[in-house]
Amino acid sequence: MGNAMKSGRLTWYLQRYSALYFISFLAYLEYTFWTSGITFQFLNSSNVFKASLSIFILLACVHAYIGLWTVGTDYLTKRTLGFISSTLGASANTLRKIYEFIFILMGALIAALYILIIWF
Amino acid sequence: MAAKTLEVNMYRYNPEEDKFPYIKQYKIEKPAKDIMVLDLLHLLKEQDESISYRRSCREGVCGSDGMNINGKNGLACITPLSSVLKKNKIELRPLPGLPVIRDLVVDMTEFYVQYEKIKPFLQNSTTAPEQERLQSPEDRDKLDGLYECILCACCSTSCPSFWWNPDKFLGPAALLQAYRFLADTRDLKTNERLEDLSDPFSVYRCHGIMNCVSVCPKGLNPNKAIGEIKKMLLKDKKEIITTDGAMN
Repeated sequence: MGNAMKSGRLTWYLQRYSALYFISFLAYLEYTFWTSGITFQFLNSSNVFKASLSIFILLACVHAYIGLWTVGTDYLTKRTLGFISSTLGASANTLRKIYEFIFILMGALIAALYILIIWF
Repeated sequence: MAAKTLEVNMYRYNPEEDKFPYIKQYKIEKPAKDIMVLDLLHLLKEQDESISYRRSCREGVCGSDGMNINGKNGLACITPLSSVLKKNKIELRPLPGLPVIRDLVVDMTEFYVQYEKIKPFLQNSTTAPEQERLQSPEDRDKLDGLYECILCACCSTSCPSFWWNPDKFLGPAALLQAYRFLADTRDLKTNERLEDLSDPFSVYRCHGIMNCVSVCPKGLNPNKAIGEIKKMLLKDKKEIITTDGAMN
């Protein structure tokens, strides 16, 4: 993930295309629900739907990672935390690593849980 | 307060005397005719000689007197007092996000470092013609709205992305100039210039909030230039430039 974050182009594409996927997938769900009255249980019996939903979950994690990484590199820096106190500013890099570790861990747990629910 | 009196609240800070910055209130007789904010500062300086600010050309060309006027960045010399007065009050602060040297004078080093990074000069290693490198009128037109920047820093210092990462995000002023050379058909280092901008910070940290556009005293549009750079970055590099330097 670290190397991927060095390419502005890659992160830009990931954010935009994942957002497009979210809109398309949610629009498909809405359309299917309102036109055919198909229930979630019925959809969940289809492997194509399960795969699409799994991709949705994984892309949501990637999308959230990039967003939260951006927030962290904006607000958890020596400069910004230094406005509050110089001690906090000096430990900004460590704090940002902890923050990143927490949301990576949470994202991985949530993704794993959802994938398990979807497929098993 | 009488209607003919102006209340000026000014950011004051002299590191040799003050522990912290503070706002000092001045009262001054309202001039009979409309004057520029810079003229108001001159009047205030007659009252209090310790006030510090930069100024030079007093006609919006040198970009020295960029400051925050009633919450919005602008050039004091071309901002009419009548356009910024609110209930006969005005607040003057230094450009936000840059270290204050004294009063309204800021340290522009971070700003110039970013400007230097974009290599703001024509790069063309082919043999120079006897007189000058010519361009078609159409190619020259591409530089309009780009070369007029006076580097007053009003745009970059109104940009939150620049406030948070002034060492990594180039800021609107530098990016406007980056595009000025990317758009110049005489410059042959397009791919190298784009390579230098390809990290997630230099350009991509711009979220398009357009503060830069709303404050530019020259009416330029750095946000549009940043959009054009992003388009070039997202294209396949081979498509961008041909061997003679012309862009596709």
